[in-house]
Amino acid sequence: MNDINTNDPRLTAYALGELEDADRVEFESLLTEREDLRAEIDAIRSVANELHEELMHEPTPALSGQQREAIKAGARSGSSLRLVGDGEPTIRPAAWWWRAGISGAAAVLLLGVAVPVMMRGRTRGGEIAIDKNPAGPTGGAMRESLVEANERPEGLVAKIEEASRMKDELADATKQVRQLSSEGQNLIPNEIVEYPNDWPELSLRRAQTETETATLYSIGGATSPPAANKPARETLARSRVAPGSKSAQDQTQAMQFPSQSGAPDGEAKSPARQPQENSLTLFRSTLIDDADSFEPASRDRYNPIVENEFLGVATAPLSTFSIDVDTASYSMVRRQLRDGYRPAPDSVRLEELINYFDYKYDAPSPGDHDPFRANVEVATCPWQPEHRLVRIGIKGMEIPHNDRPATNLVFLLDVSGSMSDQNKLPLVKQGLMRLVDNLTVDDRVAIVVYAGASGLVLDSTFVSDKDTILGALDRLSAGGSTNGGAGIELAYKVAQDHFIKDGVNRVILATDGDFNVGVTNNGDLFRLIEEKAKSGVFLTTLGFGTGNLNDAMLEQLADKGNGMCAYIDTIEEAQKVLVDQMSGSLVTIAKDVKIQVEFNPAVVKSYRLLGYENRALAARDFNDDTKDAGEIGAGHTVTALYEIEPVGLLAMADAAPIEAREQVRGRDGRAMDQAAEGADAESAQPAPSEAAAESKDKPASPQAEQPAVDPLRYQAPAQLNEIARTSGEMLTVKLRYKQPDGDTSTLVQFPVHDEGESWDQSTGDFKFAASVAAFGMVLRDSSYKGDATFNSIMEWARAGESIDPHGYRKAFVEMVAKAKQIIDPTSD
Amino acid sequence: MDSSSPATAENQWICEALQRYEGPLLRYTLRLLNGDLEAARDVVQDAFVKLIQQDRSAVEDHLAPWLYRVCRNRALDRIRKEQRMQTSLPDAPNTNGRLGTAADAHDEQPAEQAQQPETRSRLLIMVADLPERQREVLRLKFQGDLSYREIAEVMDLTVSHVGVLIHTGIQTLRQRMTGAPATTRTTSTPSA
Repeated sequence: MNDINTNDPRLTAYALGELEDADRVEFESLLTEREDLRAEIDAIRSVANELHEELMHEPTPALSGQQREAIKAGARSGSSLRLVGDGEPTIRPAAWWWRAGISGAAAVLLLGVAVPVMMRGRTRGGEIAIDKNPAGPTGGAMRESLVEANERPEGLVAKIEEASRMKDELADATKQVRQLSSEGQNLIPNEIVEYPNDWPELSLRRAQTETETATLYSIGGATSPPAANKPARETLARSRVAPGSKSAQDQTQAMQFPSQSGAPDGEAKSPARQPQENSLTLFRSTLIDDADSFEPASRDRYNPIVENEFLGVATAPLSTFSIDVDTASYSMVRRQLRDGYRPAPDSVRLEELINYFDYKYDAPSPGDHDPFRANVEVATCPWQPEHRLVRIGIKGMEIPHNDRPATNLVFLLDVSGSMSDQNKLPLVKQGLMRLVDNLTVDDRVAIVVYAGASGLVLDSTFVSDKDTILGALDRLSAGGSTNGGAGIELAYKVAQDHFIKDGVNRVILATDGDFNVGVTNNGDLFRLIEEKAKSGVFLTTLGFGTGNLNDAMLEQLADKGNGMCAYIDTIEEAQKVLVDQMSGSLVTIAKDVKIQVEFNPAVVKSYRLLGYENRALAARDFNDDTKDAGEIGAGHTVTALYEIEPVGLLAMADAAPIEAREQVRGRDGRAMDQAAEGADAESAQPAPSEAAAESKDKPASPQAEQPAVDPLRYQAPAQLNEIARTSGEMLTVKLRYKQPDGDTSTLVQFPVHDEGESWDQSTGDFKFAASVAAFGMVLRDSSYKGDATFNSIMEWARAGESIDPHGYRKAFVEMVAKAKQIIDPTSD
Repeated sequence: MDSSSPATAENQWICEALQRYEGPLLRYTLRLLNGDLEAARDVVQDAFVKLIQQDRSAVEDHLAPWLYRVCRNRALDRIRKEQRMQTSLPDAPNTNGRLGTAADAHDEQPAEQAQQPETRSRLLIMVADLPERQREVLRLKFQGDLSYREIAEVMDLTVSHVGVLIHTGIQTLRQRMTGAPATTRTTSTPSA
């Protein structure tokens, strides 16, 4: 055995750590005197490493988004599929189902849509219409089967035993359906398009299944058996409204809604809202609209948004969030409307709609200490006149074009095959050419592309050599698959190689899809970008085109990269982002800007932050300088709106607690559960524990103001302090920011009084921002939209249209009219 | 806020497996299927669908080789069925417009793209010249990061056979890289 030669495969096995322990020990002993073999092993390792390196850099293809979703949805619904599949062979997942990207979960969800659509006999907006006439063959058949499904007590009774056994599994599945709803809304139209001919039959089958599922669940869920005979929509609605709830009372309560539809619900009515706006109608109308007019076959991915709720000042006196200057949502909404579709709710981010527009806030004067100035306006809330609307506006220092510091840009461009569409790479090129045209000779530009492999197309070049840059841009063409991971590393490297101290150093990423990050996962990519951001190279992400846009990822990348994210759908938008607002897009004047608002419980009973859902921070993060937050560019304006419920409003009414109101409004079941459990006003905002901890040092309001919660046995209601009682202040705004190259934050704070301004007295900017927010809520069919309608929005917006240098506001009003046409043409 | 997709313990592992293996499996399968991306996607999707139907405990401790093996078998089935059957697995550059990978991308890179350092593509071209099974084990080893044992499971070989294939493949590459004439697979090298 001592005869080892270079043909011995153990050499390689040893080099690669593949020898079993015993063999390795033996082999090592044989190696001791063989210098040559150890050299051999080193050589093998070196080849192996190189090979590994090379092979890992090969492009990594990806499944289509649809396939991926199908797998994920299949994974989620694995249990529910098996369950309903029992004795129900029709819905077993046949192979073609998967192939088509139809998953169990999507199917279950689809039913939720199919049923109400049929009930109302409404027609669909897309290519494939369900029979318009409810008495027609399709509608009729579906209805019959549904009725059948619901009025077969013997079948149901037979399943009761089974049902109780599987209760948990079902509850799980239902929960999953609820969670899925946001993604599902994208999936649904997709399936419809894929299988136009199968649609009625499919939905029928699934409708039966879902109905049974829902019914089974309700039995298992400890409601009374007669519930099984309720019409399908009630069962369905209930399974939606209170899924997974352990309390029978919850369910009973929820069950009452349909029967009381149109009549005031004594227990849970809101004094401030239309009583018939209960969760069922909300639920139903949302689903119908969804099915009606969403863009079919889109694989664009948006992160789900759970809207901020009203929070009681007693339990949550602090509201903390990071500013956000992204505008992508606005362009995406516009694009969907232009294409004739209702925007996907999760593509509608209120803060990005509002911040799309510039407002005429005072900028800081040259001598000012802070690089931005905040101003606040309080007036009547137009969609809820008993409420006050607070607008916090921040305006960044303006930097004249000529004073812009030297700029070092690296364009990181996706040139994969899908970018060849006219609204993608050609638009990228056009937009960037305009940007380059506006740079000065001291600026520099490099171009990195990524596709099959990433590469440097143009090393960093001074803009004095503009023709070279424009030529390189012009010659770009699309082809290949995507591997953004390697590309982004290269782009950052080039940016760092040509780093301009005290200048603008920025990578500008343009893509239509997502990064296929190869061997690294998203977490690694985000860490990389955060790391680079610390070195002073910031990142701007520009989304283009449709079909596979990973909006969520682009936003997160920009967020981590201390940059902004925009969506470019037209050359005009490119002009706006890359030329008109170039200074703002390129020059950061303050970073990690956080806002914390403390409300005075003597004045404010509850409040709701409009938008910024994915920017919420914990209260303690405000003073934590290691917590990343948003950036402000030169001349940028950032606007945040709070809807305020003043103290005293409810005391005059029938004292319906906020929680009860939430309960009526809650459309996804979350609020319901919380309310029924008498939970404190919990939400995505600062956790109650933190809020409570904070409130030890802060004035807090009397607990007695919250009738839904029993008075505490061991604690007296907190006392308002002197300032709360006598100052008349409504709230205090606190801002923290860092200089672009700084590590420690500066605090700015000021109190705000409500001067009682009426809607008519409010400024045009205020009216306009309010109208944009209302538009977002109506598009999302938010339960907080109050009196807002497309018509009222247009009216409010027109009142603020006067300040409109670029015509953006006029275009907004036109867009609202377009949305009305698509979504609700008959409303007034 | 964590916005990862909703997942229960039941399905979480599937999503994690998808996240982790989607790309590597596609890369491997694409190679087996001569660069036919759509076919490769079908195969990989089928593999995950099959995974969903598995009992988790039965596959979890050998998930990677299980997935690779399913993909491999399906890909080979497909090749057989479509009578594109060849005695060797294709690893040659494809020029029919399908998605290629770096080794064969040197003829279809966007013209503007910078050239990779020369040794890069040279090494991969040399890999493409290796016999079929050596190529496959090298890819499974250095691209799929599988152990000898796992590769043996994927390809239905013995562990020692895998060891021989990898060793031979690497030795051949070494000789070609250093410019030495690649004569046989068992060329002797200078020794003390």
